[in-house]
Amino acid sequence: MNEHASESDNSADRRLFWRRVAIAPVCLLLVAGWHLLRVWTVHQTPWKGGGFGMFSTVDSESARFLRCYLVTAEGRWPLPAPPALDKTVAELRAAPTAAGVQALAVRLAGQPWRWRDAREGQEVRAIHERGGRDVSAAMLREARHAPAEAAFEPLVGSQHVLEPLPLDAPAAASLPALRVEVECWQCRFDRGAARLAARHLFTATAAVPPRRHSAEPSP
Amino acid sequence: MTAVVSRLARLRLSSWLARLDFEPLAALPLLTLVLLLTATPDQWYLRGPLIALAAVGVVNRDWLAKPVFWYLAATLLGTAVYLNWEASDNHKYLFVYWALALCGAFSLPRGEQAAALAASSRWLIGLCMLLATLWKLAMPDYRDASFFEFTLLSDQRFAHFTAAVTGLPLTALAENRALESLLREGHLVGAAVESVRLQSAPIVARIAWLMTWWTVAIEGALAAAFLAPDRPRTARLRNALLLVFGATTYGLAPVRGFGWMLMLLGMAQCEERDRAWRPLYVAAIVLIQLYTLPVATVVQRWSQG
Repeated sequence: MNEHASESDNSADRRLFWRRVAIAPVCLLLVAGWHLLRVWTVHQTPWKGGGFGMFSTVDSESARFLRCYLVTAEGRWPLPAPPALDKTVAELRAAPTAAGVQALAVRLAGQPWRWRDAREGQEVRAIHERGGRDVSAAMLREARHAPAEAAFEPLVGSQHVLEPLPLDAPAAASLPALRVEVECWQCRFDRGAARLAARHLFTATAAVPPRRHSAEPSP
Repeated sequence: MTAVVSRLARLRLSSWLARLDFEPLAALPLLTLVLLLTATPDQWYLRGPLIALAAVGVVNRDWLAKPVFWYLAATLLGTAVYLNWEASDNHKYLFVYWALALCGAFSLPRGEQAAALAASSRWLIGLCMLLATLWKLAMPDYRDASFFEFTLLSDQRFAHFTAAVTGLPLTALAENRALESLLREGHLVGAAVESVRLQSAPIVARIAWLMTWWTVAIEGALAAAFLAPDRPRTARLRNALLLVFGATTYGLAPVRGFGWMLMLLGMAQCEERDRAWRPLYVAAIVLIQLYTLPVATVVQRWSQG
């Protein structure tokens, strides 16, 4: 009887031992299985996600990229994604989906935009008007929230690039835009020709909400 | 006379090795803390608690042998990976599994802890290497050596190696990186580029082919050695393979966190009969750390005057 009890205790101890040993490896296998499913279904890169597919393909997250554009009556302007969207952009590069790219287009369309050099030009003009004296934050704020000018002089050291406008800024300070287009691309490497080519995956378009079309100062 | 000298040398070596011997269950948690503190998550909401937990562990060393300590560490590390999956490298996942392995091992009676940690570590290394090998074999652009050819031509981490073995000038490799960046970001300056042609040399393809199949061979051999049943002969093979892998791989691809983690796992999987290998894993950790020094850049600047 005692022998049986001791054998059964021993067997329970062994089971406990192997259960504790297996916790970490089983977690590794479960995560790797989930990662494999994501690579298969949502085109997630093998590099990211816990499946240990690093250094196995050119198709890492840095081989996928987005091209965003703001379309106005005057043309189609490249739109740098603002830092606040860095994580969203990184997620889309790691696992690009049409729905995700569409959601990004909608977010970018909901954001008012302006030219950085136009804003800096308005600030510089206000500073010159004051002769460079008693420059205050309120004065600069007023200058940068003035209605956007259609034509402006190029400014030394400034970059002609779109930048996001604070959401509470008057609508008139923003660039009248029609829509946002976001394209998702992937790099392919042709070893014979040492050629790196961009392949278009998909494009999403989102109309800019009507309030942003207005060139009138907000009340 | 020669026999006496050789015997004395052997004695001195064995006493020197005996001095390097250490108790893995005491050293591993501390080395893990050093690794975690030098590779803490970027997110403030995880870095703060992790540093605080490590500080508590250093002050109260007894806590390092408690499962709850490692459960908390695994939870913090796991949260960092879950919330930042798009940026988390695979070794960050390995940190979580390692913390879980420590938690599981320390929840057992004292006499079983080392054996449990050794078994978990062997499986973790084996599975990690098996998956790495399978991914490589599954990807067509890996099998045809495109991946390593592209990496040699455009990855900054490999630039000095590429320049040394292929003769391609560093400036050509920097131009390749600029072209790659133009492909991705050219549209921001109004130049949407469809394709770019990288500067290469015929020898790059041969080196890439060698690297491709060397990596598959060593990772596949590691997977087989670590997943095979534990026997003294297998143990010698797997320790030798893992140390060769650490010494060769991380000189080229300085992913310090991954290298350190693998060496800690290697140290943990050494049974009592393999204790002579443990100091070699510590030496490998130091070597991987040395690989991160910008020696090639310093030499290059010095040679340019």
